[in-house]
Order: sequence, then C-alpha cells, then structure tokens
Amino acid sequence: MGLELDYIFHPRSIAIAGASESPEKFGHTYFKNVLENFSGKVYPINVRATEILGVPTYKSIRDLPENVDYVVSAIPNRDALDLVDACVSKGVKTLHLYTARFSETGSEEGAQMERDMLLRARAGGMRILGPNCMGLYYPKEGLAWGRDFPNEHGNVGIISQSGGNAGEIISVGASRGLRFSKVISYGNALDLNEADLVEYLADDPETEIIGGYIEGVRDGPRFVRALRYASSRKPVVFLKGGRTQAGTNMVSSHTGALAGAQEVWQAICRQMGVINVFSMEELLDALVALTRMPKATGANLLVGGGTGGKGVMSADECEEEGLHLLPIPGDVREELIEKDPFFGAWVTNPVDGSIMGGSKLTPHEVITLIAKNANYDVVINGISPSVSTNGSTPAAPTRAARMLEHTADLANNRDKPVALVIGDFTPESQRLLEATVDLRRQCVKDGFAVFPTISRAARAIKRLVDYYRWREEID
Amino acid sequence: MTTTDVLQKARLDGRTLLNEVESKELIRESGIPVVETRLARSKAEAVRIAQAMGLPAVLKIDSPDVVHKSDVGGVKVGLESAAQVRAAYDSILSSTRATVPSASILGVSVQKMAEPGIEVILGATKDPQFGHVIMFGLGGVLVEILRDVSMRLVPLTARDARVMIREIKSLPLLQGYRQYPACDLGSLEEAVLNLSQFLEKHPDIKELDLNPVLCYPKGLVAVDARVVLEELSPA
Repeated sequence: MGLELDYIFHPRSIAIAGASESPEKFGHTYFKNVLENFSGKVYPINVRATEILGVPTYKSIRDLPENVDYVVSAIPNRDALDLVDACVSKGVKTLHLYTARFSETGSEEGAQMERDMLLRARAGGMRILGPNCMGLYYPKEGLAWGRDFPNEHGNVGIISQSGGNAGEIISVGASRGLRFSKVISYGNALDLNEADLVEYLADDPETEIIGGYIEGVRDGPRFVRALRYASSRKPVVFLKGGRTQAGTNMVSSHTGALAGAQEVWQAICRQMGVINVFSMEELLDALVALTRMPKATGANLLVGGGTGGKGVMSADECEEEGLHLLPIPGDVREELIEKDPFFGAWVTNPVDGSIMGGSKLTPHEVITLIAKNANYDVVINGISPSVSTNGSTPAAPTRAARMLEHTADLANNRDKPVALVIGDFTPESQRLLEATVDLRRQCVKDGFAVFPTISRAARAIKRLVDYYRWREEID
Repeated sequence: MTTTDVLQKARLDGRTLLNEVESKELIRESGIPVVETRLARSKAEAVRIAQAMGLPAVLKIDSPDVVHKSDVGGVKVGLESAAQVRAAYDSILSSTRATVPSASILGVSVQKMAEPGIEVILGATKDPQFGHVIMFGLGGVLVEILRDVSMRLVPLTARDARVMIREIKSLPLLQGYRQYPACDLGSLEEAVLNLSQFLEKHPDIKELDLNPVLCYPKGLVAVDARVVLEELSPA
C-alpha cells in the first residue's frame, strides 16, 4: 500500500533552491552531494551568485529550462509560499523544505503559513517533505545531506522527526557497520507524515529493518495500523522522545492517572510487535543486532571473555536482561575433561579466560567447543587486543587474528547469533588505543555485531529474541 | 433508565461525570456483570432498597465532588440489618459533610454486598493521540501506588486480552495463591473484550474505572464504576 510514494525517491532531476557558495551551509552541502553522486540533472537556484561549484545558477525555479521532479529548499521562510507556487508551476512532484521556523516556533503565523503551503501544494498535486527537516538520504540515488555519509547502501530504513538524530543514526551507525536503504528526516510532517513513511518502508523491498525516532504523531490511529502492518513483515524499532513531558490533562480516574503518554506508547509497541527502545544507544544496538545476527528465538546464552569479577557481574546483567546463562551440559563437560581433565572440570558459563593459563586449551577453543552445543541459542564473546609489555609493536596481531578466526568459526559454522564485546573506553596508551580501534574496525568489517559492554549486547539480543518470538506467535 | 437516557440526562445537565448508578447502568450494556445499585435520597428509601435487594448491604456516598469515596468516610459495608443501614446512612452523610463541606450530595447508593473475591481494576482512558486504551491490573485503593497494570489500545484481539491479563506481576495471585482460589481468567478475558467493543460504540467516553472488579473461581462482578465523558466541543 505504501509503494505509491516510491517516485519520491527516484526523481529524474533536482533543483536546489537556495543553493549556496558557503561550504558550511546546507544549501551548499546538499547541492555538492547530488552534483557528485546523483545521475540526473541538477540545478542550483540562487538570486545573487551566477554560478556555484562551476554550475550556472538560475534566479528562480520559474526560469528553469525544463520541469523538475524534486526541489530542495534552503531559502528563508518568508519566500516559501512563493516557492510552493513556483514549484507547482514547474510540475515539481516533491518539495523538501529544509526551510524552517514555521509551526515549530509555536506562533500562529508560522502555523498559518504551513496551512497555506499545504493547501497550494495539494491543489497542485505536489507532496511536501518537512518543513524543518534534513530530507532524504538515499545513497543508491546519490541523495545525501551529510558529507561523511557512506556512499554504499544497505538494508536499514529510518524515519526521524529530528534531523540531528537522523544524522547521528547514520554516522554512528556507519561506524558500527550499519548501511541504509533510505533515511527520511521529516521534521514537522506537514504533508508526508510518520504513517505514510512507515507504510512505505514496510513495503519497500530495499528495506529489511525499520528504525525510527518520533516525538509526536500527526495521525495516531493510522500510524498504529502502519506499525502493525510493518512489524508483521520486518523488525521495527522505535525511540520516542519527550517521555518526561508532564501530562496536561486533568484526570479523575485511576486509569487516567496511570495511563500517561509513555505508558500508552509502551503498550502500543507491545501490542503491535514494535521494539521499543529508550535511547539512541539502544536504538543503534538493536539495529546492529537485527542486521548482523541471524534470527533467534531461544534465550539460552553462553558468555565468554569475562574474567573473574567481570564475568560474575556480566552473568547478573544478562540474567537481568532476561537471557539465561545455561550451565555447561553434561556431554560438553565430558568432552572438555577429555581434552583437559583439570581445566575441563573447572570451566563454567560465563567462561573465565583468566583461569586458563597453563591449559592445553585456549579460552577461545573452549568457547567454540561449548558454543557448538545445540542447547545454547546465543553467544556473547568479549575480546580485547593484546599489546606486549616490552616491544613497540602491538604484540600479537597473530593472537588477535586467531581469536577472530575462532569467533568467525562460531558465527559461520553455526546459525547462532554471536555478539562481540570490545570495550570502548579511550586508553592512555596510544598503542592500546590504536590496537583497540583496529580490532573493532576489523570485527565490524568482518560482519560482526560489536557492542561496547556485555549488558548492552545482552539487551539488544533479548530484543531480537522477543521480536522473533512475537513473529512466530502471530504467524 | 436505558443507556441513551443516562447519556442524554448527563449531557442535558451539562455534566461529564456520571454518578455510580448511572455509570453502572451504562456499563451493563457492555455485558460485564455489574452489581445492581440504586440511589436512595432518604434513610427510609435506603432501608427499603437494601431489604428488597437482600442483606448484607453496602452504602456509598453519591456526590460529584467526591472522587475517592472511602477517603471521606463515604463507604459502609457489611450492613446486616435495617438498623445498621440507618446508622450507616447518617454516618456517611455527616462524615462527608464534615470532610467536604462544599460537596453537593445527591444521596446514597445502595447495593447488595458481593461475595469477597480478588480485587482487580478494569479501566479505560482516551489518549489524545491514539484513542481509547484499556487498562487491567490489581485493583482496590492501592492501584496507583502499586502500578501493577497492563494496557492495550482498542480494539483488542483475543490474543491481546489473553496476554495483557497475564502481563501483570500479581498474576500468581490470580492463579491461586495460598488460601486464595484461582480466578476465572476466561471471564476476565471476556470482560476485557466486551469493554473494548463497548468503547468502540462510545467514542465520547474519556475515562472509565471499574474498581474493584471482584474475581471468583467462576465469573466476576464489578462493584464500583466511574465514567467520565468528554467535554462537548463547542459547536
């Protein structure tokens, strides 16, 4: 039902109204990005400059030699209404308004301008994205507002009411291996709203996982139906901002007192199979788990890489998140004892690598061996680079490589989800810092789901498990 | 009074708050069992109603200005005789007048005391963005402190009803705990689904509390009810 909006992502030509010569401005960046990466015709519109980045400008949309499909507006809001008319006269199909200071300021004047724009756009058969938003990041067609966004595309589709959060999801997500099908920053949702966009992504074959950031909604009932429709097809993760906003309604019942906006949103997520997260970190963690781990519905967990007290604490954290640290089954124990009678009898889950000194088995051999057992559904393995204490070269790239190989075995030979944990603190030692960053990059590049702590990995895995359990139940 | 009468009368009076008798009359339409309750405007009427319904009786203050009736000494339970009903009537009126001197008092509601059961709350509220939401949880006067509730958006499916009832922390209490027999969870699911359908028919209900609903090994009954309608938007 949503794919009728597909044309928005496939314009044949683009004009940037308010294209700018100043490199720090949005009207420059978006123009530069499409100029470099978009295959269709691109027109800069600027009333003063005669050319930008070597491309001759036009004074107005009305002066363009041909009709254009898509217009990005970075002009001041006082000229926006005239721009809408100009766009309609040029057969524009979609107008993205980066232009802001409308209803979001709370002024009646701003709200009235929005209503006027919408009326004229509707009459002219043109859709509006925004105002007050960053618009489209669609790497496949070369559309992007950030200079550092990846050029490669992926399978994660995002809608975000906030442009800043959309940018953070792309940039931080990219560093964790996420690639995006489409990211839509939609701002004030004057015309295209959250329900339109979720419906679209639900049917979009390029999108396999949907993530979102919302504050309010324009059309609650339709949005809920769209969420249900989407989540029965692909995982949907949402972060809702403005949770602490005090309710302003007078209530005179227990139910009214208990059913605040956040409680209601939580109930909706549960009911509609939406993964509800509470921070940007959790949103990215969930997306990383969903894109980089296979489907899992069991909660029996094997943890490796925690040593001593850390292992004990991580066991507590995983249980608190709702995963179960299954004790080592009898037949696995026998196999371990056979390989090393002393350590084989001692090892527990979580596997404490620090006790393995002097053993014939390495901690990673132990983990790999236990993980093969069918009773374990998911594996979290903590790894760290090792730097020799005397030499100037990071010691043992070989050791890190070997660890990775073992973990890769874990992931490739089994259909089991494997999460890697690499601490993200910034060590004093430059060598250790570089080695850590290298290790993380390598793991991300190799396709692993990498998390900074065991508890964050556990929470993301639990959400993945809950989602696929829900899917099994409703299918 | 029929459901339409109840709603029309409230609207004609310019009220959004329905009293207990009206609320129960309205809820009855949903199919959820409700204890029969009538309004007494005098002591003699209270005794007559109590004897007609059967003792022991429960008397409660009926005032639009009293939200939590037990807080003002406005609830008397286990009344076994005409004399006790008379005494309770006087006590409720004097205690309410003493606690809330400005309260306008419509009378005292009279009902037969229900058999004890596990107290749950079944409620609804209309979220400004998403519409009607049903709430279920452990009931009684502590509901806002314990906050052991689950919620679902209307309309609910049978699965939604099943899952929401099993989502609260106190579920073991409903499944039979020590001297408490197990509740009829099937009748709870049915009540939740009935409430969902009822709300779809009444979009102008803003808030609704059935608290407590008494749950038994077989069946359940709502012994108190409160319905708040939406303000009519100026035409």
